[in-house]
Amino acid sequence: MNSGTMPQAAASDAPRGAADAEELSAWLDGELEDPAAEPVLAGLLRQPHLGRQFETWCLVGDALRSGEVLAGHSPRLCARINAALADEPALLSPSALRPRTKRHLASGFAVAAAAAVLVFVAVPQLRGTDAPAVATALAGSGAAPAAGTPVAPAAAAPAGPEAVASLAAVRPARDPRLDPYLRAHRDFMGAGVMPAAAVYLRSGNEGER
Amino acid sequence: MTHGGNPRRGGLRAVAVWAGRHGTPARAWPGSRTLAWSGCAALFLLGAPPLVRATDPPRDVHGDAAWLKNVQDAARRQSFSGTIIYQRGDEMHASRVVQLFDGVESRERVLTLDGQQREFIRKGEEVQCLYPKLHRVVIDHGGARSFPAFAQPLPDDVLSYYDLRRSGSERVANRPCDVVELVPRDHLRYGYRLCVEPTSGLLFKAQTLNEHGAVLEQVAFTDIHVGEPIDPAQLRPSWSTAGWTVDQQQSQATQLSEQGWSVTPPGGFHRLAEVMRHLIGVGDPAPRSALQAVYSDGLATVSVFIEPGAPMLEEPAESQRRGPVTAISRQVGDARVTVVGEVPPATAQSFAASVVHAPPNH
Repeated sequence: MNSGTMPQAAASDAPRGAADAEELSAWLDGELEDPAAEPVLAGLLRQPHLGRQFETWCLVGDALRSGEVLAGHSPRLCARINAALADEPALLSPSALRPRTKRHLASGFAVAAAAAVLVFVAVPQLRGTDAPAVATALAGSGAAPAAGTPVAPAAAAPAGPEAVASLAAVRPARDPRLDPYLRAHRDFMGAGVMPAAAVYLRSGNEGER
Repeated sequence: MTHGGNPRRGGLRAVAVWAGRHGTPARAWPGSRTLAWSGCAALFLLGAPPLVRATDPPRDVHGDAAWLKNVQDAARRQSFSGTIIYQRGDEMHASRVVQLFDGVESRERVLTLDGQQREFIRKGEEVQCLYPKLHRVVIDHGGARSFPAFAQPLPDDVLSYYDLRRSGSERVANRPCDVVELVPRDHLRYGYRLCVEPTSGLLFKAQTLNEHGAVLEQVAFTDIHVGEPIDPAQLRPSWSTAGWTVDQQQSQATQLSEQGWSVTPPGGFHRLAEVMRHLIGVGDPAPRSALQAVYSDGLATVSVFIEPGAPMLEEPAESQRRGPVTAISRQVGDARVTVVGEVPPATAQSFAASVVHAPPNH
């Protein structure tokens, strides 16, 4: 545990590293009791890989909550948080007082999940150029803009819940060449289970051009 | 530390659970109490399946079919007036809807309340679409289409392609409604979530859901009056259409095979109609003719248009979507084939790919 600065520690640390990550995860959840938490904090401050792990989880959690927080993220911020942790020897929370249940999560699982989230939160910033794929693959909103269709400004680059709103704001296709087909289709589609009024409104401003 | 640990880990946890449902064996997460709101956000972000699934009650196919039929009948035989909201992507529209059933025939007027002024006046099966800005009327002589009816008489086997699940109740337009999900049994179609007011049997809210449970489009009453006397004056158009341009949507029954074409629909879609019709395009000097073959699985409808000799589109293979409506075009020989329907893109592509020109032997 005290070999954080030794290069050869990396390989032999692999099993221990996974356990450490699990401990760190538990601590973040407030599931470690006081005495158990202390070595985790100590390890966090000493071991670079745990520091990176912590940073990733910070980033993921913040990204989920707020794009603004994510935008403010930087290694320096994480360093400040790490430094602050040095002044916070124990985290007390009601859940920490409860008996800890056995943890099953492999840290690799968590990392994979974290990567998935990071991929996602990066997407809104790309949507200016790759909006159709974004809208189709991620939002599932069915909003696939035609090439050249104006899309929502990418500048704000929100993430987390806000990202959903902005992805949904990607404009759906409005190729006027489709209007005659939609109108003719309307004749027979009735409404599916959607009310007929929805069918009329679906066609947007067709007939107006 | 101002962030706190739980919401962060809640997010990870939710993602992990989601991942577990899609391949990796799901793990029993201890302390799932920490599934904080950010976790829910993660699920939403990733388009996860709905969290809550009604447990399957013993299947009662006859009861389910009767229930669907009842909703369909109510839609035709109730008089009501109200305001509906339609939403898809970033679009939202409100409309005023009035329906009057006189015991024989239903009449309806839909008046848009925002955007361009438009009105739809239905009498029986005929619908007049009024575009006052253009002084234009488009008259559809279409099929069954009364609000808020189902597309057409439900095929008996619609429940072969969708599971009907009752999912409790929800308040819509200040009334308690029964919630029913129509869950597709394959990936060829979308799902639906319906809220039906039990006393009137009317559909108060309907959502179209993709395979992840995300809402593609939805429509709901915000207020509605059922069974109250309706002044027939409410069904009159807002404008006199004297002197307006009148476009008639005309179609004649035909057979694709006689025209040398064949379409093989994917599973569960049955042929509804095959017609030769005029397409009224934007800026077209004259209406152009197209073959239209229509297919339905009882809930979703797909049209296949075939236009021999039509100029190739610039992006013939491009698939476009408006909410749940997918449109795709491809070239088959010298004909433009366009598929339009409220189905997933892969289904529309399956239709398009099945179109074959097979000249009849004479």
